[in-house]
Amino acid sequence: MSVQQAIREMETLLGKERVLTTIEDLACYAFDATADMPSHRPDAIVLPQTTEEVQAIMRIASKHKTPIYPRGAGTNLSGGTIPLKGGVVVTFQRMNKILEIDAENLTATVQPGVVIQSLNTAVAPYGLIYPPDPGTVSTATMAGSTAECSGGLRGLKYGVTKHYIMGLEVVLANGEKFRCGGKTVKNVTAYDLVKLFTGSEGTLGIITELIVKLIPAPESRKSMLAIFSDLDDAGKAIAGIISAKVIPATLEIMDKTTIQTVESFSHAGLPTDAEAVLLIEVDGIPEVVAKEAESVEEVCKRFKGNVRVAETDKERDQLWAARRAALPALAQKSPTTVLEDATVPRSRIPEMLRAIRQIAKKYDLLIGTFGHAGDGNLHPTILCDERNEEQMKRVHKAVDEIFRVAVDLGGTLSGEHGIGMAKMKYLEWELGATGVDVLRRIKEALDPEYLLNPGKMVAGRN
Amino acid sequence: MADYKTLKKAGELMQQCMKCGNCQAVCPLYMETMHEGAVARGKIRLAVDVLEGRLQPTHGLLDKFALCLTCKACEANCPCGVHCVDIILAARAQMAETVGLPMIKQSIFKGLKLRRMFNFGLKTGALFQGVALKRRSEGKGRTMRVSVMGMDVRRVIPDLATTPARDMFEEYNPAHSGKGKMRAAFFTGCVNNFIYTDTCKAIVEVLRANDVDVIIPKAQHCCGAPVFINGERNIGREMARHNIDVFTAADQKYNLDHIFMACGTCVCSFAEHYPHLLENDPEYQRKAQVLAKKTIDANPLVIKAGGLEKPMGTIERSVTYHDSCHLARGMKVTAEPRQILRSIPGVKFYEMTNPARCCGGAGSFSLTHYDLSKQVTAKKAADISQTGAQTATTGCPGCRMTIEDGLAQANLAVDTVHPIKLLYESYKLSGVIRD
Repeated sequence: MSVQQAIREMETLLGKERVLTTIEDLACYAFDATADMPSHRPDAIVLPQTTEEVQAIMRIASKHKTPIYPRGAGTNLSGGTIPLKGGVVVTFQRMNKILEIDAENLTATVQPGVVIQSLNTAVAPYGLIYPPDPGTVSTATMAGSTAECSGGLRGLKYGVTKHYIMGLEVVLANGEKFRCGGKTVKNVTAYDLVKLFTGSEGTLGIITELIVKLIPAPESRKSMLAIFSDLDDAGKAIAGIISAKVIPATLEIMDKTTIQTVESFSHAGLPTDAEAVLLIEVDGIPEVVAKEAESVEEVCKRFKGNVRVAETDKERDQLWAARRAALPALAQKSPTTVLEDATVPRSRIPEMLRAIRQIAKKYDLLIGTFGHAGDGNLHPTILCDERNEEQMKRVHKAVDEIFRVAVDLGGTLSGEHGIGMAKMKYLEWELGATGVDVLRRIKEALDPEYLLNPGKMVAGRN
Repeated sequence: MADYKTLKKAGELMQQCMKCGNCQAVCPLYMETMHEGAVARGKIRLAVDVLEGRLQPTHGLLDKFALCLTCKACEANCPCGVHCVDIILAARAQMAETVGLPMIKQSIFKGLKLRRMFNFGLKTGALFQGVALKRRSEGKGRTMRVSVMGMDVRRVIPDLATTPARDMFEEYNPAHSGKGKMRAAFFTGCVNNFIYTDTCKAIVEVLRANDVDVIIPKAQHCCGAPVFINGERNIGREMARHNIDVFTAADQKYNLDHIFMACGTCVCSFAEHYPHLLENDPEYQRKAQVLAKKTIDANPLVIKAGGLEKPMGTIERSVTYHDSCHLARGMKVTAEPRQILRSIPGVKFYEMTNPARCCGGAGSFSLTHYDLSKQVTAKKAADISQTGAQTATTGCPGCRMTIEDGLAQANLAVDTVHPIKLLYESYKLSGVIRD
């Protein structure tokens, strides 16, 4: 078989120690963090240490038409790293060096396997931060989160991964490599190829080096929690905060189901009859933070929010403990947790929350919704059991409807998790047939044989 | 499909894992290997694959499940509260039942079961250790002349005591005042008994000085953790029953308030593992539960007995503390040893980075995977060194042995003791304890 021939050539290239093929090894790379997805074993896992090795791997793969699945920490939530069609997983954990921290140009140059938190730890002594902070910040890798274009809690003020990727080195399907972007703030040379590969989910090329943007760390911050007994009031408060010209670093919402689950799980002191809770943090220069915090408090009170302001670090931690407990609390209630990331314009959040509630009722499911209200990115979380076939049918119908509603409200299929294999079937709803065909043409221009992460985002012609 | 009874019991625990991978952030072995199979999430998937018939039990699979320090760091960081270590131990036991452990482990575990033979062997070993082991030119301990039982010859091993701790005491050791207010039985564990007799002496005398009658049942034997943690549950159960018999008899005879240990793993055996291991044996499970309720680590026991209210002499020394995984995450004992150290006049306490990160020893893991274990230990040695402390303390003799090796490999002259040993020295300086 040609896959086996490719693996033998990769063994010659990397040595047996860096090509894993035992059945036990293969089983460990058959899945990622996505719930309710088929798992599939690869034929091998390879561990390159240099860009040249990645090029050689791609040359072998294209010679033998072997599918290749680039993989960081395997923590994505779109089925993006599952080796659906067999072939070789290329894992980047051995390319995990921070190559340069350039404090003058506010950039860092890193290898693909650097864990996001490691970069933040390394730049902290310079008074700098790398802002994207997905929930997996302490495990996810730089290239993995770039390929998936991860978001996080600070999206409203700081944006998402794509706003911080300045330059890339990419290995193409045929083994050639090129660089795009660089250290300059301004760069309009030709097409924005950096943005094309950011969020490409490993389907267009393999990222082997990244130049990322750093920013000065905020000097201070202030957190508060506002409790609402009416969902519309919470929605008005979200809009009101922005109208008051305040852009909080984080503006999070939890719905009634989530509040009740968190409260019974961790007794954080949340009122279980509340319809919604907002968690807000402003950060920056102390004087500005004080002024903004005042505005936010005023707006929340105006819309009948019951506001608690954290005066100390300990109180801040207590407020955030409630938000951090949201997913664990929901997850512990059932064996399977289907976590989606439907996103709508922030003004449509109350409508979206109500629609999710109706969908939950219609399909007799427990759905807790929390998420990043400030940027409209919600996480409807369906509590289910994947062993219950009848229930999972209802879950799939509910998921379909949630995305239909999100698109109808002028939103998007994915705020931060990506399309992967989980949301391919909905793409036309958002992009139309022509838009999907544009994806296909881009894919085929760069990877005509569909060797790179096949079965994800772009379906083949047949 | 085969019926994997042992593994099936952990099936519901496996379902709780949502595969998020947060365990990667804290797993000491993932940090070294960067392999999904080394971290809890990967091993749980392997276990699920076995249960669902996608993987057959093999020695290759057993090797994967062997890659775990049982340090519970994953459990502490798990958003879903998955009992990862319970799943891994169930998988090891299932593999052992289905395909058997390697011959070398089987024969060691069978030998470990034989108490008299084991005691005789180690006492004899103490007399002849100079033959097989050469004393290091500097520092403590010895290295092997030739590899024994698969042990790596580079490893620095401490001296075996010529008189084991349990031979240094009577069964009944009354409070110094003669007016005991509390009765506590000491389960010494093997490493303390045969190697760190200084720890045993210090703890027994400190407790006696605080009006505690200390009982040391002579027939006690290895707690069995090295055996059942490796998946050999049947021999583990036999060893558990033996110790349960010995300590139940001591309880009947002396009406014990407590059973105490000075080893993170031994204390977990009594407090957590015995009742669990014997779940199909109602009579012994009941007895195990009675003992579990009385089980306590030596550090909190000394504080409970009023040990910090006695006059103490000044010890000018900089000290740090390493949290044993099983003591910290198993028994939740983290504050007490620090409280003891901070209360000794003259002691300057320095916290190391990640004090509760596994030292890499993990019992026999360091025998079977010395290179990997050594990499983890090197990080611990560096963390200790960075505090600048003269003395590294820990509540577990297994950790102490590992850390001593790590410090020796890094050529660091840092002393290692149990926290209560320093309290004992302080008592001697103040005259609370006289020789």
